[in-house]
Amino acid sequence: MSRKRCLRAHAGGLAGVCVAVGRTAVAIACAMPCRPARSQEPVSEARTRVASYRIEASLDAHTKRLTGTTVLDWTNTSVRPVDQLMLHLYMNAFSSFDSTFMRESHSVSEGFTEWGWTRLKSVRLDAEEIPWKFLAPDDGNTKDQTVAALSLPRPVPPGDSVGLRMEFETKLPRCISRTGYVGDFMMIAQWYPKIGVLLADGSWACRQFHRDSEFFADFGDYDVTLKLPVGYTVVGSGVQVQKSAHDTTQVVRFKAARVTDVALAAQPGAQVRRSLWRSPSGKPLRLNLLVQPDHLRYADRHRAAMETALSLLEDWCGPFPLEELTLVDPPWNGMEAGGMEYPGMFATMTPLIEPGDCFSTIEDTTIHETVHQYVPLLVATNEADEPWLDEGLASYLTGRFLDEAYGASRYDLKLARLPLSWFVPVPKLYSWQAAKLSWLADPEGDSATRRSWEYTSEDSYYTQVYSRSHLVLQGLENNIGTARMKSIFRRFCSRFAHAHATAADFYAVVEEVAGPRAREYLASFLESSAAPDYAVRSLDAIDLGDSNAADAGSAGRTGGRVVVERRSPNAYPVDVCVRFEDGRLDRFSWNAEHPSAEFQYWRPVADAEVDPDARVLLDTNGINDSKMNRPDTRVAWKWSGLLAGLVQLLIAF
Amino acid sequence: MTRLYRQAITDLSRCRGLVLTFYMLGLVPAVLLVLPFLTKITEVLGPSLASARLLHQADPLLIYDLLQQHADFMSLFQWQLCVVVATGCFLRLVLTGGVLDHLASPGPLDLGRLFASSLRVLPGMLWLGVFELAALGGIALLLDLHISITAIQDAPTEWPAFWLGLTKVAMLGAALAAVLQIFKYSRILLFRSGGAGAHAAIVALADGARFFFRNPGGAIGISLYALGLVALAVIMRATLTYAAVQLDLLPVAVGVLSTQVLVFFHQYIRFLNLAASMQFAASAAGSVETPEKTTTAEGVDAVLDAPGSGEISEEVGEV
Repeated sequence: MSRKRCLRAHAGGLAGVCVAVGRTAVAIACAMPCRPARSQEPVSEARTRVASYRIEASLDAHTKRLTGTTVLDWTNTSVRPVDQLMLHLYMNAFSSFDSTFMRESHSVSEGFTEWGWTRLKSVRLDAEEIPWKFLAPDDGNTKDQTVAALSLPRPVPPGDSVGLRMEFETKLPRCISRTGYVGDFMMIAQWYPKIGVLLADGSWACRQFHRDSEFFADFGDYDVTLKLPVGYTVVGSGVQVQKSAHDTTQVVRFKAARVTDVALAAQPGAQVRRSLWRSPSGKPLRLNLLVQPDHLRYADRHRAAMETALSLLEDWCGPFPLEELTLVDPPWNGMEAGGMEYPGMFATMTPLIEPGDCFSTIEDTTIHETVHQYVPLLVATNEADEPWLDEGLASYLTGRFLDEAYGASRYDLKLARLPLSWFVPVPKLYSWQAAKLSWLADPEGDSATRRSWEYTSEDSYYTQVYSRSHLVLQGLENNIGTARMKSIFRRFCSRFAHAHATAADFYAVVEEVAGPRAREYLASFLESSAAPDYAVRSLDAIDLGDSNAADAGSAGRTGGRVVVERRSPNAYPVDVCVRFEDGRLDRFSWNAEHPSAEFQYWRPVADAEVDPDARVLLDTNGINDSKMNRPDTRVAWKWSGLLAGLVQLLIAF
Repeated sequence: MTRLYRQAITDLSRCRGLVLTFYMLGLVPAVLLVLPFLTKITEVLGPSLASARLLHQADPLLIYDLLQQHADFMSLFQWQLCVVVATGCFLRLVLTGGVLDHLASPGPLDLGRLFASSLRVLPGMLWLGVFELAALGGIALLLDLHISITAIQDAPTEWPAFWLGLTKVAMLGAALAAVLQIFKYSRILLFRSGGAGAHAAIVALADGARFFFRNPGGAIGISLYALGLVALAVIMRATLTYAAVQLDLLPVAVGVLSTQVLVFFHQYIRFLNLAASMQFAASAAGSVETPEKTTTAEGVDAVLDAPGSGEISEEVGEV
């Protein structure tokens, strides 16, 4: 999902800063996720087809209802027999204000009346009707109907499969949180009964639909046939294998192999721009763009952003896993459907006006959703339990690609619905700077690694999951270098392609590629809710004649003393750079084990700086990172002069 | 318009003391307000290498750090700023009568007369101030008004909503300009009538509005003329500053000095605008009589005290 809903430092090896921090290391080990990282075995073919669906549905375009049948072929991949299956009925989050999703949402207007829901009409196993009931495993909300438990007549042994036939009816809501309709446009997402994920130990990962949570599913093959009125243009996940029309009805059929979901978008008379693109390695990929008439002038920007992201993703994460990628540009009043990814398809966002030097919506969203094709869609992560893993990685890669391909960008601020940059100079920012500004608004309180519904506020969720993770990963790159960062992503995506991955798996790959210090860096800053602050506390001249340590020849000479400190519990080593009056430099790593450290020199010190290469991007105060022996008052005078002028202008007769 | 401004410049050249006095009235509180800010920024930024980075470019992250790490000071400073600006605006309102009197009869500044004239119409001016504040508040509220029209919200394209929003802002901008100009005329008319109290203020406001709507071209022209001059000065300063920063030439002292030149120029243009408005009011009404001679207080009186003085604007409007 896009962060809309919601830099550069030198790279260097960690070898020079590897100083053991015993107490911290113990604390981090305890805080690590309990689930151990998996082995490096390749994912078996069977594991990539755990839940396959054959869906046949018809769409009533007038009432926005889908009626159909799903045949689910599901395999028990756990070590235990299973007599209960868990289903997601995500659309029921929009059935009333009593659902958990709506209770957690404060931004949905009380006037919202165009509800949506999914009704299970029947569930059969070999012609035998299966009973079900709604469960609320997360919060006990008895009015939440987003999770249903099916009671099987007999347990499914490990390794065995069952075929369930489910009849369902889904009503689309007015566009809300990734799905729904507005006017004739329909984003048909999270629209069918979808089985949860059975973990290896026999427990279910099947969360209720929460405000900030997204999705988690098994891989499988999808075969979707949809009947709808003629005149509608339909795009969807996978490859369209059939399209036929009879009188007033048309039938479209999509197939997608080894994916975790399928979504469709339909709009009458919409034009789809199709092209064939070849990746840098020569792999062909069909790109489809369904762009609104209002936004046609931005179609090329969307396409260029897709191609940029795909090129860089091939370099960072490996070949694109699918044959087609479809961009859906929702209409202006259906932006709630925008900024969301599905296998082989994503919904972007387009403002009416976005200047050519501003990439904060078009390029940002399109690149971000393209990146999501790898995480969490190729490497499936649990977006409810570990939201940072997909959004953090995607935010970091998005920022990285934006900065590399487009440079710094102006933020899309508006004045009277027109870009602010048309009237006044708006500073350009790199992505990590924008992320830091966002994070600084609410730096403490939550860590990045909480479960999605446990955040203290929606703002905190976005700040920590998107921005903190982005900054920590960019900081990691500043520490270990771009080459090793690329290796981490390539190995992670290759090892867990078409499989589930956890934070522990990612940490393990980081450690393999860049060593334990890199893993410690990640854990230290992601799992902590603290806001790090390193500082130069003082810089003094000292009379060496008074120093006990001074030799006889130093009497009367002046030396320097630098005191550095960390003002947060995150004890991660940082560099300190000391410049002397004679221009020489002393650069060393301070292990930050103790809250402060003092360094004395035989030469007078001109200035000192901690973390000069910005390896801890989360540092909350860049001003106290350095000190000079001769204060520079020019900025103070300049600003004061301007401020005085402003006051005079305001009170002028 | 040029003739009006030429005459206003001539008048203003005889009121140099007034312009200088009001420039100083702005400078002194501004300096007093900014001194603690200067001390704090010197203390915080002075010893940091960040100051060198901030000298040549506004780094949003460092500025954010500064605001957040010293939020208490900034909050207090913000309040002090509000108090100084509010006091300055109030003082401006209080002295309006005196300033109008001085502009109507240019010459050496007589502080005693300035205060006496101010006091004479003070109650009426205060009432006008209250009315103006209410009008500006109303415009601000309307600006925040969310226009919810189902037909537009369900339109297949965003353009209707875009144009509606833009029209709203443009209309409120026009309303703002009109309100400011109407109150300017109202103050002039209140001063001429010499009335005090709410009734006089209401009459002056009605007359000012009538005058504005019967002479919108001239009123808008005067405002645009003044706005253009100020904009020109700001653009020149911005260009010079940008060029100087690029070339690393502009010492801080020159920067501060150029800001003061801009402030002084702005102050001068404000007085010029007021003088031109008085000239316009006089000439628009006086063309029936002797517009060229309406440059003195007596001349303005002659025009504005024409038969039916309570309906001055009607007389003016007929021109």
